[in-house]
Amino acid sequence: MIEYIGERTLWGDLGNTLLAVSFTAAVMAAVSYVLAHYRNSDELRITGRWFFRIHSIAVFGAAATLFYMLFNQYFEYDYVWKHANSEMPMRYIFSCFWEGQEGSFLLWSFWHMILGNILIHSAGKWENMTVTVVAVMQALLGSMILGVFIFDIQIGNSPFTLIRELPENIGLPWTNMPDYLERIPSFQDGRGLNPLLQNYWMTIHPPTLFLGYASVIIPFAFAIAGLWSGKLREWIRPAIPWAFFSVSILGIGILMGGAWAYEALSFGGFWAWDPVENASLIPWIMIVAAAHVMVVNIRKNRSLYTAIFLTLTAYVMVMYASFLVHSGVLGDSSVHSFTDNGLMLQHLTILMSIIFVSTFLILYDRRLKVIFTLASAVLLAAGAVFTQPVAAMVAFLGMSVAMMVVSYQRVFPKPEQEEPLWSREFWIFIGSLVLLLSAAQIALETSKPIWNILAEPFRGPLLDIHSLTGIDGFRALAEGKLAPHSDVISHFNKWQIPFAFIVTFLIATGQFLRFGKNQIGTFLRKISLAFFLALAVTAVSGYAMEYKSNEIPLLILLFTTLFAVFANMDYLIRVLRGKFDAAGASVAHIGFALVLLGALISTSRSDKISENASRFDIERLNEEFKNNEDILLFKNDTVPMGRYFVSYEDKEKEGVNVYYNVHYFDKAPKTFKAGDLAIARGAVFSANEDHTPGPDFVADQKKWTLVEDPREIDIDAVPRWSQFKPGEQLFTLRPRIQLNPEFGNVAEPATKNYLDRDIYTHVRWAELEADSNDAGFRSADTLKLAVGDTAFVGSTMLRLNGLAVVRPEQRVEYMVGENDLAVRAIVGIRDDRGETYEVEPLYILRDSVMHIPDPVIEDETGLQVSFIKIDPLTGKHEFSVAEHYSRRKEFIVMQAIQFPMINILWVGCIVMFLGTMMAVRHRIKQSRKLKKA
Amino acid sequence: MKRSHIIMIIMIALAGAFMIASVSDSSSYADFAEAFENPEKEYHVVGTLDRSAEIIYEPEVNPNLTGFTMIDNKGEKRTVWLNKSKPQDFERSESLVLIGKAEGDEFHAGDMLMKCPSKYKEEQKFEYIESAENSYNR
Repeated sequence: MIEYIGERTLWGDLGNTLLAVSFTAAVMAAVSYVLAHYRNSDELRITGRWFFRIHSIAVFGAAATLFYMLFNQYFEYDYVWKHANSEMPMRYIFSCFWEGQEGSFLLWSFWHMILGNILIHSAGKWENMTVTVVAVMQALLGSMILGVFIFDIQIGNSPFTLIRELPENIGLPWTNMPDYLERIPSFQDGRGLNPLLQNYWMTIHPPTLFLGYASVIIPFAFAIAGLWSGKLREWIRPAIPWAFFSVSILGIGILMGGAWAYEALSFGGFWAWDPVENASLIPWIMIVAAAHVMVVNIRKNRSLYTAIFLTLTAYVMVMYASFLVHSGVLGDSSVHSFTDNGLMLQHLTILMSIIFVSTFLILYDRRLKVIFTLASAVLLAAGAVFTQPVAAMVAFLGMSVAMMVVSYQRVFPKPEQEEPLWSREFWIFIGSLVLLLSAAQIALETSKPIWNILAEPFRGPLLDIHSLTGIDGFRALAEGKLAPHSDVISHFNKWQIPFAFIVTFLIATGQFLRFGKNQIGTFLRKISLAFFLALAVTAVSGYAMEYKSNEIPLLILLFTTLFAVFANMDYLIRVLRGKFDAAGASVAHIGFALVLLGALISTSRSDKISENASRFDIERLNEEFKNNEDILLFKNDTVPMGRYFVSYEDKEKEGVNVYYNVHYFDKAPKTFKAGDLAIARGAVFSANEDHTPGPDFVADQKKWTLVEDPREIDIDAVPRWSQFKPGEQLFTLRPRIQLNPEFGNVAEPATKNYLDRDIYTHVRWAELEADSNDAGFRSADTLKLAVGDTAFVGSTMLRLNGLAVVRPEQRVEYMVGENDLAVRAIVGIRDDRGETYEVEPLYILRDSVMHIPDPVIEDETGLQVSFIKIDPLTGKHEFSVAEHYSRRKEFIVMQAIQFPMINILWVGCIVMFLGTMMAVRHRIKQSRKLKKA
Repeated sequence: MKRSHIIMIIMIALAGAFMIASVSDSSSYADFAEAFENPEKEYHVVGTLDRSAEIIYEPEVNPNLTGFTMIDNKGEKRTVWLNKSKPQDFERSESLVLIGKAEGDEFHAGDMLMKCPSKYKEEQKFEYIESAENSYNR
């Protein structure tokens, strides 16, 4: 036994003990509650409560221990070393806590624990069953961070593992050094937090999102309890406030993620349809659908099966989201770096168990349950015996779906009569199906990496389908090479916009339909005001924002979102007459429609105002290369950009951040007087008359005369023609680059907010380290030039004017030796001000073999030119050209995007959150009233 | 036929249509060999940056164009033109996913995903540890 010096093993042992206690107590709580349910025993229930309380204290203790270790920087622990460092400000310790997987599981578990305690106090007769579900899930989640080995199988990764105890380090010689902590320098400090996450949103977004994820367990637990006890409907009433709570918290959590991306990431927007974003959106859509169908069922006893199915699926999707993000299967399809934690199998087992239990319970028929269980067991065994686990899993999933359909069709109790066509219940039901389809499309698309894995056993049939249909995708799938669409964002938009306009249309009209039968005429009359108002606003704003005929889907969505906003306002005023209690739905719907409206306008009318006006036509290389979105700003140059003039002035280093000060100036109108000179279209023109310039030079050409012979004119003093001149300075933006040697440098945007638009900018490229050698020259470029060719180095143009052999009588002049054979190249240089120079680098062969490079330096331009190679075959000769560092003008490459009306989106977020919270309050009040009655 | 049946049939038909549309509307992962066989098709090509070759980024000429050489998973090297500015820390990337088409004997990518190693320092650490070990053994 080695006595290690300086290790604080006490804390790790404490943490691991607490995790073990929390796991055991969760199992014991579940067992006690199950027994309490079957024996109807109050004593056992009290026992269950005590076990859950012990569990709660242990989870809290484990979280506190981890926090303490992060705070005190115990770098001998892997989790602390990976996520904290000594320079970390206090406010980021929380972010460190949930940056890693183990910490995020602990956070998730923490929220489950809080919610479980609320259930103990509030669930009443549902306590036994619902807390059982929570306790079982706590045991399963707890197993993900247990970090024990059973034989050779690892169960969970503990956040309390010493680096020396990591499997990959066991047996390494340094682990036998008692003083390794002092000896190895990298133990002195941790890796620290990824700079992207050093943002205040990262303190608040993950806990909110995880509370959202965790809260879905409550409706799920109630649904399970309902199926378990056979009280198929009764579970819904207590579950409804919680379903809306999930809608609210998960929704705001997702939007906070968007706000963080907009503020701190340089993705160029707030939503990128990234797999991680999608993984959080899918359960949200499901729980929204579930909550609405629950309301229908309470009022009209309809859509019971749908309510149960959606509630169960919402939770399955929470687990699936966790699986997608944590297991590493997303691999190449995301910009996020995922690492396989080696727990994929364990995570998958948990996911499949939840699917099994949910399906088992929803079958609602003893015979079906037996068949399903046996078939699942056979598949599990067959999968193991024939080592075809993937095929077995696909078969299991397929069978689960089939059994659910059978259960719905044959055994599940249904009302005799169908709901009337013109009723709120019917259209909410349709709306929930549309949401289901929308979520399914996102899930299918996001899961493409998983399809490749699932398709593996079905290679043959898929190839058959490929040859039958000719769709290449099936062959890619058969070969496991199916990739996401090459333009993910527009692909998702294309698919999701139609769903969005159906949903927003239903949001607009739904409230005006009463539950039960409606008179269609009355209904139409009621919605007509909002309808025509929305139509008018759409027409005006669509025209103003220049929506074109190929953007019809966007126009429809613009109309339906406006319709939804107006109709719900109308409902709020005319029908509810401002009654606060019942207004939650309308307010939330207005908020949601505003979120979509803001997203629609700001994204579809976003304008990359940073356009590159380059000398080199990029489309010449490839006509699909149309991307000109980044602008080059030389230091102190003032160039037009969008409705501004911009000027990059300087950079400032503050701590780890390099700020780039970019000033924005107004575009001031300009007038030309008769006789004024201007450069346009590569020539000098003189103005004929006093005039205010038009939008482009061509339109104004009649007002100008070409100066035939500009030799008399000082070209440097002649400005380029432009319509505007820089006016007064409006504002300064300071986009920055955060220097981080551990994780790489990160560009963070700077945004100017106006009421009606944002100017969002970030530095795309900047030279962070000076590139120069001892003599002050930058690294050289190699140019291959034939006589007459031109090329650019920096902002200087070079042209190979000709080649000539150094004749014997010129040897002295060119300082060439007797036996040397020398060729001189005549190279013309033209600098950025248009001045021209000439240099003559030599190519010298001494004694017909040895090549002696003879660089020449042009004093004015600071160019060093060497003649490296003569190539008589191709006629393209090689030159090496280096710029002097002092000659180089500093520059940055920047992107600037204008997002119009993005504030509608943020206002919508807040309104939606308030509305859903009002709905939660309303539902709680209602169920209290019912309890009293 | 009851309305619920009609709705169910529509749902199933739509779900099936989604699946097929989703498969047919996909790109596929490929190596350079396959991409250069079908130059008209768009592919995702996975590989690593060839650090020995030059990275050409001349913002003065065009800030939206980066040239480099990538080695695909089969070891084939190709010159790549990316229609984007050079990503920060490009040199340190661990793996690249190019999205684009073959064009002549170059690959033209409209977009690129770049994985930066999150385990960067871990690798570094083991180097440190080895050096520490050596000093210890000595």
